[in-house]
Amino acid sequence: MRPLLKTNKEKLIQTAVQAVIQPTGGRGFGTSWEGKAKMSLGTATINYTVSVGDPTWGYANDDHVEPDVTCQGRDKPSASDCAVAILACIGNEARVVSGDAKGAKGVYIGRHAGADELLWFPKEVLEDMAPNDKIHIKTEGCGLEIEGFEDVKLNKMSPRLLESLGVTVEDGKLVVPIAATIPGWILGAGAGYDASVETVDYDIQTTCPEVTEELNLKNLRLGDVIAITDHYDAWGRGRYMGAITIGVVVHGFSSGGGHGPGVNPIMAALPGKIVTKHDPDANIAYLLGLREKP
Amino acid sequence: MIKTNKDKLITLAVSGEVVPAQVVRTYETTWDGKAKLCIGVGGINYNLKIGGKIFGWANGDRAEPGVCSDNTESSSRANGYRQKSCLGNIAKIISGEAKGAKGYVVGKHGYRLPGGAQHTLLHFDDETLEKMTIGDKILVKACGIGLKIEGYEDVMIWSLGPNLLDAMGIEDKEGKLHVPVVKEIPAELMGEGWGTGAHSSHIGIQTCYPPDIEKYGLEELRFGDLVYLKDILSDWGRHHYRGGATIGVVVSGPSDVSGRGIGITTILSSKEGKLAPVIDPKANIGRHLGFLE
Repeated sequence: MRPLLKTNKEKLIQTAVQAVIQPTGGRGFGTSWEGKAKMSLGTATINYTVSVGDPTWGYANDDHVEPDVTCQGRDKPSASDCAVAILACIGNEARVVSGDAKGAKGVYIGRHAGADELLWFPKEVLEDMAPNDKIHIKTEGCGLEIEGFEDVKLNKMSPRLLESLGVTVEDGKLVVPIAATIPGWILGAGAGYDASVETVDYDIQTTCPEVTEELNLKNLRLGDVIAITDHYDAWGRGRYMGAITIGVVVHGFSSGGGHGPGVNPIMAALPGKIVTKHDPDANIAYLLGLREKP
Repeated sequence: MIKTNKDKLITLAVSGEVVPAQVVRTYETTWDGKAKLCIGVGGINYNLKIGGKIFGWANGDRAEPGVCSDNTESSSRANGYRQKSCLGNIAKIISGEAKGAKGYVVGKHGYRLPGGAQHTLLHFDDETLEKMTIGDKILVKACGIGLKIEGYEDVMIWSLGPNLLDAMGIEDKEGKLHVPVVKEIPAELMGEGWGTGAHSSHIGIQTCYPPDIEKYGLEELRFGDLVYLKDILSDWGRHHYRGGATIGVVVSGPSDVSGRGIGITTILSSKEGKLAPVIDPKANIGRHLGFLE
């Protein structure tokens, strides 16, 4: 048994927040990077087809496809200002508190700014859910630190997720298992949006077919734990040579110029603090026990 | 010389006004987690001018040259003003003490500015600036949407007036448009503005990794300089596209916020490699429009 990292988890404030299942909207046609009209599907509401662990692309008319159940806070006029947007961490427990699925439990799996809060529930629970059902989340993770690595910024990281990642320490560095390494230069929409890493994801651009093939972006799955090289996403999202950001893939491909699979940064470090090792099973669906490994 | 369809373009009046300075009183957060009072966005920036240096301004963060304008009547009218105004279009002041004075549209800047602002940047001479104030009404004779270069109809043109296009010294040689620019910028430096519509706002050259500034000579850039963005496509949204290229204009200073930096209004874009850079340290829209020595 490998020794667990020491953290300050017993000092974390546990706070209740609430969100509702966000009804899907419709804005007519969008425009693809090639200037074509597209009726895009896959954001907001309950997605019966796509779940965390599934591919990030390949569904009919998909664009920014979100797995499972998408919710939104209602306690402020803007969803990104709501408590759930800032405090909910990947791995936090969710509970349905209204509607036919009342009492069912699920897990917070990330945030796609604009749609917004992503939650996993067992398939059978989805059948009893409906838009506007209320979800209660017991949040925990804001302020989490790893002892001896206080300068490694953790974000949207519950103690449960951190303990499941299989992070070890070798030669004074954190060794993080990841499913893929993505170079920072291909990260697009959401870079420079603001300094808030809690509320904003950013996209791996899938709108240059040659680069999409070269970087094997079609291998990415929803929930994959990935490394972004040469980006330091501690206070915003942007370039820093030699830095490493670890992220979780939260939504799927896009044909909108500059868009693609979205990433929530969960760890960010300046050069020399984090190394990675490849593990094809580094996906939160497996790590959090939401589905069986294949 | 290049031939265009400029005699077929529709010219429309769009209106805006000089808008206030935008400052976040609780400070913004820099890439390394420090608080910064960021200034230089919005209002009238008297000493920041087309042709002037973009680096070195105290507390400047994406600071804008000259007069910042927008339409504040409704979001639809704001979009009209932002989309249809093109660089090089004539801007006329139609209220206030400077009424009747004319200047130029020189930039479009608007990705996540403080207060959600989006600005159409205007140049007026110093004498006019002294008479202007916040709220002065502006009329722009908007002309440029649909502009095409004969033989290069696949080169996308956004936010570019025909007078400025004609003055840029572009040469048609060996199947490519050779465009004088001050610098070539590699795609990996680009940040804020990915994924935004190419018809308004901007994309930024990141300045949050300090060694880049010296390595790529970014300090030499001046407001209004033309730059060549390699492997960037700005046809329908701004994005990475290998083999593509975008020509843009420097419209803001640098930033200390992660992912942000020097604002570039994009004006020409080619997916098929039809744009070639010709390095010319004097390639600045102030010179092309005739108000900069």
